[in-house]
Amino acid sequence: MAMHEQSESNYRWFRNNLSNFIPQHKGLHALLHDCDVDDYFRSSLEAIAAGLAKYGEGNFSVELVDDRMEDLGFYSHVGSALHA
Amino acid sequence: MIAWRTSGSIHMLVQRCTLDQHRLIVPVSLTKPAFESGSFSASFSQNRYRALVDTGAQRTVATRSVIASQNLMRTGHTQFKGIHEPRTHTRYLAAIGLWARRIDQADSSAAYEQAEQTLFSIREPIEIVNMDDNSNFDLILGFDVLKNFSFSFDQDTRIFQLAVAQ
Repeated sequence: MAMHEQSESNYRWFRNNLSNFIPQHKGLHALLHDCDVDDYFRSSLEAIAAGLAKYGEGNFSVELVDDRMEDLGFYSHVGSALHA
Repeated sequence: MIAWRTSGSIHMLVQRCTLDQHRLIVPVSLTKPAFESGSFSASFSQNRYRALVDTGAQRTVATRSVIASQNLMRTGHTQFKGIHEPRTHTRYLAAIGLWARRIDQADSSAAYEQAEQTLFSIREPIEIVNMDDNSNFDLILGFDVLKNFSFSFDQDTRIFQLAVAQ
């Protein structure tokens, strides 16, 4: 499966199941492969390194187990409105 | 701040810029990190991008053109606050470096302009998110990058300075 497809399908599956992961893994970074959680890591970079070593580029994705949103400053408050 | 003493003078790596329509734009380079034997490394080209300094951004943002030209690797997604509603964008792994000049702490602005530029690469790759192309800048530098520097703005000279921090 290509990286784009794997990343998108993993994300859809992850969002649908996020409420199940939060109680025990909130704040950790989930390494996802073929719509399943492989493992959890303290940092996203650790998860990416593990994914590259185990599956190779294009065959995994990483998502934060949290429902909070980030603030992207200018882009959040002005830039994104240009494209809304 | 990284500074070292030679014959009684203190040197440091700095990038200075003036306000550009009330915005701060600094030159950076960005590339796809290599991964080998469990660690990341980066090899930069001479390509320089215009980066808007934004201390209110938690994460750095780059245009789709920059991401495509560097063939960055997708890593996942990020939800962020939009002006109307929450938005979801894709994250990409990138190595980022700031172009800076090695100067004596007491150097004049003329000496600064004459100093050779060198690229200071941030130690670890970061994850950036994508935005649409625009004519003003190529990246928005968030605090994930800015936290690696000391920075100041002189109201009299209107000069903004980024200095390499430890």
